[in-house]
Amino acid sequence: MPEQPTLRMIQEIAAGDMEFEKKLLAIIRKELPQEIDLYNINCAEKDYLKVAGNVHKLNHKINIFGLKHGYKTAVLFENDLRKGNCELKVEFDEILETMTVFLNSIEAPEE
Amino acid sequence: MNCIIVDDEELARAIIAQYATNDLNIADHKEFSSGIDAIKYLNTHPKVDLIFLDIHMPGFDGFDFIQTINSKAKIILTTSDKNFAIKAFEYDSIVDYLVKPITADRFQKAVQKAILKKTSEIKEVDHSVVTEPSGIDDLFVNVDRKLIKIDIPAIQVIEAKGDYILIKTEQKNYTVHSTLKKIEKRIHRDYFIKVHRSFIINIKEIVDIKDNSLLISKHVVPISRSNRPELMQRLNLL
Repeated sequence: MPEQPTLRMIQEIAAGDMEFEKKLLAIIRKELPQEIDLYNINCAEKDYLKVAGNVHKLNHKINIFGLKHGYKTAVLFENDLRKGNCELKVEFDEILETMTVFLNSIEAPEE
Repeated sequence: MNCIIVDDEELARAIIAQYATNDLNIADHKEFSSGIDAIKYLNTHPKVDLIFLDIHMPGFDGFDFIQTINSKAKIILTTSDKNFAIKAFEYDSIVDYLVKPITADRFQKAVQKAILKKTSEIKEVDHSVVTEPSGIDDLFVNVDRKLIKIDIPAIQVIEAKGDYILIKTEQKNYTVHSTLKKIEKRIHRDYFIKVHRSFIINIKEIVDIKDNSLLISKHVVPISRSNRPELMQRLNLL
């Protein structure tokens, strides 16, 4: 079974402050799709240096969801991209998909 | 302590801001999503003690930021990259290095380090942006609160970038809070000439001139119409 995201790190950072936990999740809900969109745009334009920057930025969220294997893949992918190699794209896209599905499966906070 | 948080990622800023709010050592904090905005703030708020700085920001990264600021603040680097530690400690102002996601314990340790470093520092003289040259061929510039000596003849290009100038030598580039007008007074007229409102070049380093640009090392520099006659006059033309 592929590695699954968890909220453990977010809960640790929030340290029992439920409002703050909600705030962090709300930010991730807003930022993650934006970062993925930017990544996809730069991928389509084959601007691998920019894509490397996007992958680097996404790495924080991969880490925050406790995806240790995902983090290693992202680091390798970022390094490869800086050399013009995008072989790990499929694997990285799966990580993004896993995070998106996970985020959608969590109940959105009430407005 | 007063601190600022510089990070283009909102999630990272929110986490640090929460820790800063809960930390009794930190009286106040401000957040910036761009390095340029933070530099503008620092230029008018000298009493910032601590900067949480993301290394990877689009356009203007953390190390550019450190080389540009004129602040006594201590810096705690924040990044998702575990491989920048060695480079980080090349700068005296950097007291610690936090890998994201940052935990509360690690945050507190970093703040303690900053406090210790700040209190143990011996009185330092606050130097201005560009100081008097010590010798005829030397120019001292303030980079990261260190006065760095630059060999004037080794300067290839000086480029104006807003409130800053970028001094390019063969070995290294230096970003300094200054103007072309100020540096023009400190360098020899024999070596240098203004070829564009944003560029001063070392005339001895010109490789070739083509149309409205010239090549110095690997730098292509534009020549403005108004500066072209003086340049042509200074060249040893056959």
